[in-house]
Amino acid sequence: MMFTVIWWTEPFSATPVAVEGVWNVWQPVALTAVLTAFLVVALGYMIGVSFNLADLRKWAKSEFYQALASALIVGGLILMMDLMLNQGFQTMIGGMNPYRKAYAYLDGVMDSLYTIYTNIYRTNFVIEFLTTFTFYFNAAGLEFSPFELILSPISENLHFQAHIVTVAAVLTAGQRALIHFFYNTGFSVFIPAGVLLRIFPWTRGAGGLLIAIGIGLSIVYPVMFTFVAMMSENPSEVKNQANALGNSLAGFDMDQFGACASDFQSASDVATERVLSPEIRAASAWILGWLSSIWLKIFYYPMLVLIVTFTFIRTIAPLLGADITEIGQGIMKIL
Amino acid sequence: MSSLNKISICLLLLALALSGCIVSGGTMTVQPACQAGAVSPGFEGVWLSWQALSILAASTVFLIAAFVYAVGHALTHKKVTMWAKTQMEEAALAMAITIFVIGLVSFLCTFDLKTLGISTACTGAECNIVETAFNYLFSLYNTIMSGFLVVAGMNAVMASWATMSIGKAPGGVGIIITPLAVLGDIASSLTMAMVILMTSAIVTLTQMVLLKMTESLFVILFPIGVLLRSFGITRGFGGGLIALAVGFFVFYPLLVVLFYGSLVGEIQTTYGSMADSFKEGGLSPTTASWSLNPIDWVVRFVGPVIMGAIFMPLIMFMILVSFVKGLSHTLGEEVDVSNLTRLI
Repeated sequence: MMFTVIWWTEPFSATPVAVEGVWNVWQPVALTAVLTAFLVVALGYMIGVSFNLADLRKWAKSEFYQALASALIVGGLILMMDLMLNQGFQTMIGGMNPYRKAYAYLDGVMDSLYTIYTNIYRTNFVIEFLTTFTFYFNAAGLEFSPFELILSPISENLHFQAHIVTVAAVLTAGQRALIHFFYNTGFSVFIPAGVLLRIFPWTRGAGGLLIAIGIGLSIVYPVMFTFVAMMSENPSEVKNQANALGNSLAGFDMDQFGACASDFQSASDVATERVLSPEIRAASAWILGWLSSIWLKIFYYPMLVLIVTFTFIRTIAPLLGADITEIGQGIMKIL
Repeated sequence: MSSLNKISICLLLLALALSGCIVSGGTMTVQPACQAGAVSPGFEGVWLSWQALSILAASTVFLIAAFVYAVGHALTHKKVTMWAKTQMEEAALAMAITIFVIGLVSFLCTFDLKTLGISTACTGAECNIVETAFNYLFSLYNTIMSGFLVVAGMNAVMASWATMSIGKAPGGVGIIITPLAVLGDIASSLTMAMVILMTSAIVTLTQMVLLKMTESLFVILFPIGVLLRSFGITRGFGGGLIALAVGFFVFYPLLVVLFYGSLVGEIQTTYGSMADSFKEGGLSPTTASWSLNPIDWVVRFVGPVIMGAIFMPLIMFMILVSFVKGLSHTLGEEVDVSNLTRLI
């Protein structure tokens, strides 16, 4: 069965939704909710006065301040939406759209990882093939793989690299999906739903948390990526280096590895010389070297961004009425 | 086992028996609150007996408090009258909560989410919030498992190609080669993707079970909570039980609809792209789409799945815990459900 939500947002798709249109629907809803809160408080106070219920009067007074706070939040959000949509994020953070910057950063990292993976694949194609090259002597019942001893360490290294690249690519794709999800739903689902829930005392915690998560993951998260993108090198550099490596090993010719040699000794000599050639050694050194250059981009920076975002959520949530001290600690531990 | 634990277990079993659970032959059957787009007959039956008990309890408390109030008023004992007043308020509140939540259950079981603009493929009777939430999770689970089967199929093909050996030994001496051994790399990457997809499927399935289980648990926890909340000594605990029941039965499906309603379509789209790439790529490793970018399509599917099936439940449970804490605080005693999230 196929389900599609057209309630508060367009279906989550490759094309981001028009946040302005969604907010235009939510703006009167949020304002009505605030007015309802004032109405409930006023009614509570009236009943408290009529029946001489001191506790109810006290509750109504404290709720009046909360309703006032909700009104301020709604006003602040409307102002923020106006700043974002009419003034643009560009104006707010100096000529950069954080979403575009974040997408560019993550797409660049993904592109680099794919290029590295493809080149590891191409490099390993040759090495793995030679590693499995086996001489067979039926009379002696003997099998002998002359290149395995030399090439196995390199091919195993490449296996490890391919594994790391896959992990990194999956994590990067997950982060891209997260940012895309909040780009589409932050202002159209999380914050409006949070504003509504925050109106009522028993749902204030959940509402405050929804607003905090909405602001954290829709604004702080992409803005942090903007700073990270500014700090790190151009992803295309990594891609170019990976391609250079792949091209240096392209045009694989069996003859170059001693396949056409007249005897075993010559074949091993040619293959050993070739495997230990400066090109291959340089390629191996580069393959080891890419880790340090891209490791920061794949694991450290995104982790830093997530930690900053969740720290922001933990800090702002109590101000909005949610207590997530223990849960927040758990999330930080998971990170 | 300490005697206190024994007493607790006995009380729990008694409460379960009283709440309408049918325990026979070592198995326990619990009625869900909603069934076929309406309040389930089982729940109605259970609630009929509980309703009378709850109202009797609240009325008793109300009568005793009224009597105490009269005595306090006669003796001009301010503390006694204040206490009696609070008890009467609480008894009235217990009845109001009962009526409100029963009305809410009836509303949730029969309310068609299509009227709110949520477009679903379900028919009217199945469009209540619990069924819609379950269907979203079911849809996600199906998509993940379909993706798992595609990746598993591709993994089998790659692993087979990787182990294919060719040998020739005309005079008893020759060579053996495994020309496509490198495809083992891709097979390893696909194996990892399969592990992630299986984990995601398990987490989604767990959520489906939780959704159904909490629907049934509501039938147990809510009446006990209402009854316990009527008496001063057990008011806090009763309030906590009501908060847990309402939180998991009402708020959790709402979160599922909000989160997965926005997400499932995207994951299905990425699955479609992956399946198309699989068709285009075919089984031959020499196809251009394989040699150019062997893991692209898998990663683009697995990434959103991790986010949706593993990361999103964490966020959802944070919000749910916040809701339960807030509601239980309002109703009586703050329940520390954060320990539950540590298990995740």
